[in-house]
Amino acid sequence: MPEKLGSPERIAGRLAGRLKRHLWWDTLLVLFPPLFAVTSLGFLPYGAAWRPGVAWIGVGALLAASAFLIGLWRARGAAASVRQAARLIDRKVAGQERFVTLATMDPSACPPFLTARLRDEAAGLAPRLKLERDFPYRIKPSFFQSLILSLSMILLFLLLPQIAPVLTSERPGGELMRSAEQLARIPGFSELARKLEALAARLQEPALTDAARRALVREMLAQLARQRAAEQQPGGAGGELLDQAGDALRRLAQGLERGEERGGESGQGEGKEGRGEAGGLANRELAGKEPGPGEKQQPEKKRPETGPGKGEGEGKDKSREMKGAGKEQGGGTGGRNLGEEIPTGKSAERFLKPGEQVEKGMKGARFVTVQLPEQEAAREGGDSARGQGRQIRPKTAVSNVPLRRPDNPEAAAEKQPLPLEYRGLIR
Amino acid sequence: MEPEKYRELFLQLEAEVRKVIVGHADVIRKVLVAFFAGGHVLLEGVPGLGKTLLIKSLSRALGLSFKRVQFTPDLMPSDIIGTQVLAESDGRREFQFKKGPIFAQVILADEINRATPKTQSAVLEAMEEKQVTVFGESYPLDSPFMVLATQNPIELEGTYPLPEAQLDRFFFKLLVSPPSPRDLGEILQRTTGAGLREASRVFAHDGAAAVAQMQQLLRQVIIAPPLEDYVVRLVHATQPAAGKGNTIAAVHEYLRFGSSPRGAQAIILGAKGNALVEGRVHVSYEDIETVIYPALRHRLILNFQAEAENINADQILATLVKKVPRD
Repeated sequence: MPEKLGSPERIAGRLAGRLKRHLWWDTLLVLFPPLFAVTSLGFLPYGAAWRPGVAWIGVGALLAASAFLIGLWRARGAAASVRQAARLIDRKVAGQERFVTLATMDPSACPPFLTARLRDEAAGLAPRLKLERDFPYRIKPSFFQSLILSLSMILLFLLLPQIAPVLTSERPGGELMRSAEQLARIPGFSELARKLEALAARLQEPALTDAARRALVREMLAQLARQRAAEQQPGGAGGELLDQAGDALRRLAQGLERGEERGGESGQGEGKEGRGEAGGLANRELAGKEPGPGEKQQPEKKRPETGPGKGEGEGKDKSREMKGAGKEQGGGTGGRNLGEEIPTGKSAERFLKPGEQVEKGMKGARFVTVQLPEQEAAREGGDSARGQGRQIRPKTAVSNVPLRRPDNPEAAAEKQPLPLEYRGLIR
Repeated sequence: MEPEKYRELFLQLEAEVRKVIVGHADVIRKVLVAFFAGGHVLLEGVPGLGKTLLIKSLSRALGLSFKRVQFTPDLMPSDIIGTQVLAESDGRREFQFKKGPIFAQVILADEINRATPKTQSAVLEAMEEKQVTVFGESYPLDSPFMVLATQNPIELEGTYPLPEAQLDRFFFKLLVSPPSPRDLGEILQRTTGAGLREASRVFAHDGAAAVAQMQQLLRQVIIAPPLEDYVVRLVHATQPAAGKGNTIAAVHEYLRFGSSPRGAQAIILGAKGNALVEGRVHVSYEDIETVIYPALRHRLILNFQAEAENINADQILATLVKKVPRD
């Protein structure tokens, strides 16, 4: 049965009202998800903990009032007028502006017989129109956008406490690197700084296991302790920096310990005994004690056995790490790329002290490490740690041959700049 | 008069003219629309396209008086309007006004651009005021009155292009294009055979009164305020001097002057006439867009750049129709 719509002007008026209601629905649908999100967050346990309940009620009321005002503003500003509704009807029924003309004309200015005829023509087109069918309410994309944004807000709120520590945590070795940079500025600590930098660089290698990391940290802690003991003036600038570096190492060790414990709870094949031993070692070093004679020079081969009990599959990795540790002990540059440039054959078993004679001597050695001047060595070590991997040649000549006196005819013509730290010695 | 009667008479007139004129259906319809809107028409086309025949057939179908004036450089205003001549009656000599050819209901001003500006302007008052003034005395013209002028677009030597003021007095400017091969064949059949066709009178008697009724009905056609606003926006958009209000680049680039208010009047009256022919008693957007080209193309004054780039007024009007929003 066809819908009775009335006169053409009435049809346009009804459509305008309908479109206004659509606009209200649009507004409500757009504003509902944010309101729901705010309310939901208010009732979440930690959300409520952040703000008192009264504040949440206030925020909710404010949002509701804002929503109402926005809806009112939209309804007044964007609602379809009778003229626009008539235009839509004309488009729908191919009315050739009949409905617009009837909706906007001044009847008193037009001849009645023409007006009546126009109204009849429009009424004849009206049966083609069915408001519910031709102008149904459709959910606008803005609702879905609002919904997605609101859900994202809730999800973010829920996940924020969990992801915040991850986002704010520093890369391992970052603090160590800073300490090394500070130490490098002080004469006499450059060697230690270089080792710290090398350690920080190694700790960032993803292939390194936690056990190997702990071993490296432990060694460095021991070296720091020796250096601290050798420091003549306690409380000086160098001493403070050593303390800072030690603190950084201890924090790093604690972090590794915690990671180890978490891994041990869920992992398989980690022996309690091994973990306990490692923990004991770490605790001794964290307390600032010198390692015992038996532990001081642990043979590297045995380290995997004393480390946390890992599965057999990690054996290769560990042996590789131990090689790296050996280089550290041997006074190598320790940089990853530099290590790749050095032949990978068997290294010397130990270094000889000046004047010391042994049976085999340096027979088993396949290479030696050349110590460059401090600044150049530090730069080389730093660049290697950053992975640039290019050969760095010293810009200044390196030689042990003493220079001729200036009054000697064979004295060198060029003048070499004197490093600042040596100027105090020549006076 | 009822709209149905109007449409019937209009279609009869159109059919009578088309008995004689082959093709040019759009031109014939627009000439009739302009006639019932009370306007004058400028027909532009090369010689031999049937412009003169069209006008003669129209006047014959309408049953109105018809005069033809061939405009030449030596044509004087008095040759068109008329002049005082010394006449003797009852032994007394006195000046009597001898009416010129302008005193007819349908005037064909053939090749109007060949006459001097002085002669061209003599037609101005007649076209606008529908009266002429000679030696201080005004003589009203017959009603209905319509001037149909023709001009040849290809010959420039020895011609006097119509000034803008005179162009503005033409309701429509229609372009008469060459016939298609099919139409040309039909023309040959009709004109080279034994019998020649002629248009018959549509109005049995007192055609002037019927035309007056039709003209009155045309002005009563309903136009909605939004459509009037649309016409206003269209005409305003042709003004390059409108400044920031006009955002159509083609207008700024190619136009020196836009349309006068007469252009808007022509659009609305033409749209009303078109609506009646289409069987409606109200104007639609389609009516406006149908008549905007003949109503405004001679009212847009193109600049040098437009002529250099071979841009014509119709192209600019097409841009306007596309760019100016209906709402």
